[in-house]
Amino acid sequence: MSTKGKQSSQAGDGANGPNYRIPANSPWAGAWKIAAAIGVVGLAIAAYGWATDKDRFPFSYLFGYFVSLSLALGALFFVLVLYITKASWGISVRRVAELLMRPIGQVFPLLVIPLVLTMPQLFPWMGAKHAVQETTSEQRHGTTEKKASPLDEARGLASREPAALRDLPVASATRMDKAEEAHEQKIVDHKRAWMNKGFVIGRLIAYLLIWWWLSDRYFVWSSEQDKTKAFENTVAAQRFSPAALMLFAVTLTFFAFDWLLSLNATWYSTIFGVYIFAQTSLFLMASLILITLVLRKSGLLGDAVNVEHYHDMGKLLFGWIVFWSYIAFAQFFLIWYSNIPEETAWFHQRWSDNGGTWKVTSLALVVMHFFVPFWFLLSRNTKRRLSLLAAGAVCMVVMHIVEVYWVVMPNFGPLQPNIVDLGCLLGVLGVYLSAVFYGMRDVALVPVGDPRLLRALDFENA
Amino acid sequence: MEARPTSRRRTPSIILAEYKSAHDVLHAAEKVRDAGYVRWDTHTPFPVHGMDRAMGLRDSRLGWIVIVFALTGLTGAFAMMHWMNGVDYPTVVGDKPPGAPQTLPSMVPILFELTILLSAFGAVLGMFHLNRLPRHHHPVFESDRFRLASDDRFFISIEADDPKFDVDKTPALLAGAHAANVEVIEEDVS
Repeated sequence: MSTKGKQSSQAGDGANGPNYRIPANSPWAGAWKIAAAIGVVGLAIAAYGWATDKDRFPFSYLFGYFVSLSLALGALFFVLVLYITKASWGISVRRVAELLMRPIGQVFPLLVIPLVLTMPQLFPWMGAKHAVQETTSEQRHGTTEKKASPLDEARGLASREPAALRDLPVASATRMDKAEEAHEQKIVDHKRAWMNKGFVIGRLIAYLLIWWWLSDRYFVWSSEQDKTKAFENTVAAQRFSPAALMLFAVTLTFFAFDWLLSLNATWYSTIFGVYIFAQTSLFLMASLILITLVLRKSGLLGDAVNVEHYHDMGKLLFGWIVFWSYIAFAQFFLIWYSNIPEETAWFHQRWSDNGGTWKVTSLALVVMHFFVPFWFLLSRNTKRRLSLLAAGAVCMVVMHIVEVYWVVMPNFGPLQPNIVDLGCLLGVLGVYLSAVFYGMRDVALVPVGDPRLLRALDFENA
Repeated sequence: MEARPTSRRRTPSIILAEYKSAHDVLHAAEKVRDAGYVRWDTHTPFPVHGMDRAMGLRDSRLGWIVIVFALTGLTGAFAMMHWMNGVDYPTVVGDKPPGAPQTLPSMVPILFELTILLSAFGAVLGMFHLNRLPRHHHPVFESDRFRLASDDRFFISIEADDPKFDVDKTPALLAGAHAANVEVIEEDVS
């Protein structure tokens, strides 16, 4: 292998091998400032959006927030999995994942504040939206002279109405409509014990505290080890990992239920948490491949991450693509198959409703999130040729962002990309990555104190 | 029982060289590879890193066998379901016109399962084929020392039908690579 050659001289000046630290004169030392600048510009656009379009902003911001959060949580999961499986191959890329999860506790509690403030616009079960729907349903039947709002038209609510119902006398249609509303109200009321403002915010605080606690514990264990080289840290991290993984699974699942599933309060999907988890892990693996490739190109990782590690990360990326497809299809399949209106509503929003504008995005997810990357990454050669692997990873990063957009935005309305969406994405991502890059400056980029690091360096795919 | 003829002709069938460490066997394998042998193998109690390269092995062809089986499963499953529900005995399920693209989601579980099933068959049968299995006997088992291959010794075996095989030079090559012991295993000529 050509990459086996010694090329790590830039990585450090230590007499006994590289120290994998970012030198003060490296562009990476100042990368956090660039990210912070992008973040500030993005947040300024987001603030403009908040001021001008109060209905749309919460959805745009939730989209931006969850893209960044999923990267951090994916990193936390990857670190936990490396410990619970006692895997040695991944130790040389573990630190980059640890750096990605490091600022969870500092960044995300702060950035979640706009979401908490705009909850009434975001969630139908908080009342604000329901009132809107009541007036528009009257408008639909022409009982008032006001025209249906363009937003309602665009959302396709009018066209969803069965044709037969439109021909009925107005009184019956209203009665039908009222019955449907009462039914939906009943579903929402049934969930009221779980979905009320106090409890949702309380749970949100609990999730953030747990993520902060876990990421901090694992980062401290690993970074302490750089100096002490104590094997006890590895043992402690391994021993705690089953409990940590259970906490992670529960918090991620319920975060997905609270903040993504309940955007459509009458819809049920028990697999939704797993579906979000699949995206999260997939996104991390694609991002980790790209970040380590860039760091390696700058000569900061030396030989610590070589083709063998990329081959393995490529295999995991491929595995997550298959896992995501399996889960996403399982969710779709059961709903499509039974064809019950209250269950299909979520997919209608992304297919024929909202003026059909989401159809292309839905198809793009099937093609570019599964078919193309599946066949592309199937071969061993693709995973070992780094430029091809990078192309696959870029595709998955882009498609993850598209997918979060596709999960969140149809709850608001038709596909109408807006500068505010981009501002929210760049704002949150910029601030988060700025914190990540800032954290990179004071630790080695490879866990140099891990007693099993040598095994990772010697690792080879058979 | 009739007595077997005593003067049987015996001919060398395989050469077995024993090494004491993974390091030795790895370097011996490189020498055998560089000498141009093709019908030979190494036997070690545990996987030795770098052995694939030392032996000059190409990537396994198993993947190609598996994908042929997988695509057979995929197309076979589709053809079966389309023919049964869409052509031979058209069945309307869930208001989907028989044979129409809308019926595709309902086919996915079977498409998936048959693809996986045939892939697994392809992987197992292909592995048997590539390893020339099953076979009842192999000349290396004639050697009593070969039992140590599952304990603490490392072996290289070179088969006599290798075009480079030479009854004098081949053992010398192996011995020259620090073999602890070299034995020539003979076989009856029938």
